[in-house]
Amino acid sequence: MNFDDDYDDYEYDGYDESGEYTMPEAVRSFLLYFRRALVEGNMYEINALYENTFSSLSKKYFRNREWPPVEAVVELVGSDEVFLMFYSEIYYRHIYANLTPTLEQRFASYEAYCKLFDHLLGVGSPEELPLGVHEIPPAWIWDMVDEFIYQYQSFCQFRHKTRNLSAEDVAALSDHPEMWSVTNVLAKLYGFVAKSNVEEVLKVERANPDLVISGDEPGMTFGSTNLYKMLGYFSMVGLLRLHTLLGDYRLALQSIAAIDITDKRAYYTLVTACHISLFYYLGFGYMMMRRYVDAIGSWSTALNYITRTKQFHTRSYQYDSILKMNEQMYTFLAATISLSPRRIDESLQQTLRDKHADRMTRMQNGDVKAFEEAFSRACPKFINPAVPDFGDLDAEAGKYGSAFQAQLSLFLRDVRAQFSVPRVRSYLKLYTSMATDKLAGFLSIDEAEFRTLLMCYKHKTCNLIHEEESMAPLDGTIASSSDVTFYLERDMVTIADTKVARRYCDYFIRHVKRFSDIMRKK
Amino acid sequence: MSTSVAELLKPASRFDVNSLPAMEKIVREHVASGEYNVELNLAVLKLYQFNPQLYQFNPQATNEEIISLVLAKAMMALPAPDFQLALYLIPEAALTDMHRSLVDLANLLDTAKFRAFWDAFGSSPAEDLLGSIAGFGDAIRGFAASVVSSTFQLIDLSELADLLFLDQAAAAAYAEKAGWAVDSDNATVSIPLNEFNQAKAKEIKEDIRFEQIAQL
Repeated sequence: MNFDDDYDDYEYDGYDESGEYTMPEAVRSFLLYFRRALVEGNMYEINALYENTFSSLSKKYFRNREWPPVEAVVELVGSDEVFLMFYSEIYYRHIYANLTPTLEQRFASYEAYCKLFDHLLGVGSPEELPLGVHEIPPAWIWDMVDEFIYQYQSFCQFRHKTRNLSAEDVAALSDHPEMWSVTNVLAKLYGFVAKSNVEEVLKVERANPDLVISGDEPGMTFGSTNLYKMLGYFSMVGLLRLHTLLGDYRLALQSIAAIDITDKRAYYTLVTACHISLFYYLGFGYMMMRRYVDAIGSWSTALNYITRTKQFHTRSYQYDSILKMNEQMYTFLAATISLSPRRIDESLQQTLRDKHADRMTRMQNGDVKAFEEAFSRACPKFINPAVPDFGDLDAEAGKYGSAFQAQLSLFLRDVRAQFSVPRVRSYLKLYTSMATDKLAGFLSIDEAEFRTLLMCYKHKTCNLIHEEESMAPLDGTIASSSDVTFYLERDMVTIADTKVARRYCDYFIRHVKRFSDIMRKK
Repeated sequence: MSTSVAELLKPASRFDVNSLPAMEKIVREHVASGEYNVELNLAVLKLYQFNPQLYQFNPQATNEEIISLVLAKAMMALPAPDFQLALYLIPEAALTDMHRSLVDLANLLDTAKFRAFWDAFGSSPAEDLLGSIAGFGDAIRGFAASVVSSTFQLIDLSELADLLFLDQAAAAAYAEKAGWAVDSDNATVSIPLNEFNQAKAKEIKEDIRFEQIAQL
């Protein structure tokens, strides 16, 4: 089947005078073919239609306009309820990505999601869905769940920009507080987790990696199908994101308790966007919970992964967002390394030196502004989940952005409390034993204050650290994150620094790679 | 018959505003009994976050006091980051003077300024509230003692007494109870070695993992 006929000279107007909707031939055949694939197709076909054909047709015909409305598609394919639900999903997603959705469209996309998700949550057995639906590729399932949260976040921001709202919008919004209600959004995601029983499925799979779970097992009717298992799985990762946007970092990390983040073959590796999102939000949650060691570890893992697989992403339709998250993670890595100095992978260190040297120097010198900039650039888009008080718009107008402001100022509060750590560390590193009054003199503070700083150092560097592989992300053991260890005997401090042997491996790997790059370009 | 905490924390009731009375009741019970459940306390704050019209800005609402209790309990949970986690969920506009004085006290603890904490505590508007919470003083002392034990091998009894806000006799008794040795002159306390109060030079050698080379 060929969708690439040249229709550039095609006069395309959507509805004509007689009320008929006309669409390019390539779009017609795509829709017919797509519908058949969702009834009886296989994953390979659906994936090609979804990832390649849909985006190339979008670029060609629908760069600045909507895809054909559902009513026009009904006339073409008949009233296939299930197909139309999936079609609506990508129809609205395309609007959010390429156009500016109107309030009406925001309401409609919410209703479309509810309809689709309620249908999937409502079926009595997996067989009630057409075969093709079970073949929907993981990338699409991830996009659905992720987009649902994106649209919710976008709606919250829209709703809280009360100054920009028209009178009609205000009226519609206050008449419909149930639209995109946070409890309902949460209910859908938790619904998929429960319906698929995915937490149990993962437990069984972890215990017996080769076992194929049968749908006849009690409680596994849905979890044994790929569709539901992935819906449940991606909903857990979605909840990590959603709870983070709400500022609930503990619950965010708890949402992925069932996912083994150290497993290199876990399901999140199936979809690059999911893989990166998972580690970005995981690291962010750790950072906000002051678990800097774990934050640095999470971002290092993801950044290494991106570097290693970069050449495969350039063609991906998510390339831009991958690059963006890559930048964000480097920015946070620079910030957390400055707060909790430790060695990281040589190649990451190199990138930080090349691209973030300026900001890192400022951060290491205790410049709060540098942390503020870093946080503003790299943080997720926080949400205020509450319905604004439309009766008092003046009071509400100031509140837009306050969700971000609140998280920022709390982060900076932590940063300020943490500042003494790198400072004290740099002095301790110079000595093996010293009287506290002398050391205090070097820092130009009085002795009592310095002794307090030493205790503060201990408090700030004893933290939960995620050590064992099988641990849930929220768990950890209390350990010291400091490379400098010391103790006090009355007024005498005894110090031992960590010696680091030179590391050759990274150095050689980097040069082997550079060499092979040069050879390839020749 | 009260609903169990586990039941309340299931997704179906956790985000349901109708669960609030039951949750708030448990928060109060825990304040009296000395129990603590950070998840439940944060779940209460989250419901306030979802429903500000009903709660936060309503002067008749009881949530001002509940927020104070949640913050106080979180302070007692140090060194866990619970206090910070609670603040993430409270919009700044909802913080009252009482809450702010709790934040100030928590800041002092969080930077190990124990002497300053006890000074401020005595004159804080939050003193009565904190005093009414079962085990408050013990919890804060326990935190201070844990920081002391990871910093010191040997400490003057007078300094320990200051940090714990006890007189010297009580501080000596506290130390004995913790398994620390008070010397015969009652001048110094020696703290047994633990993972944190030692200076051990670590050496990091290069480990080459297979995955590192596998990419070549």
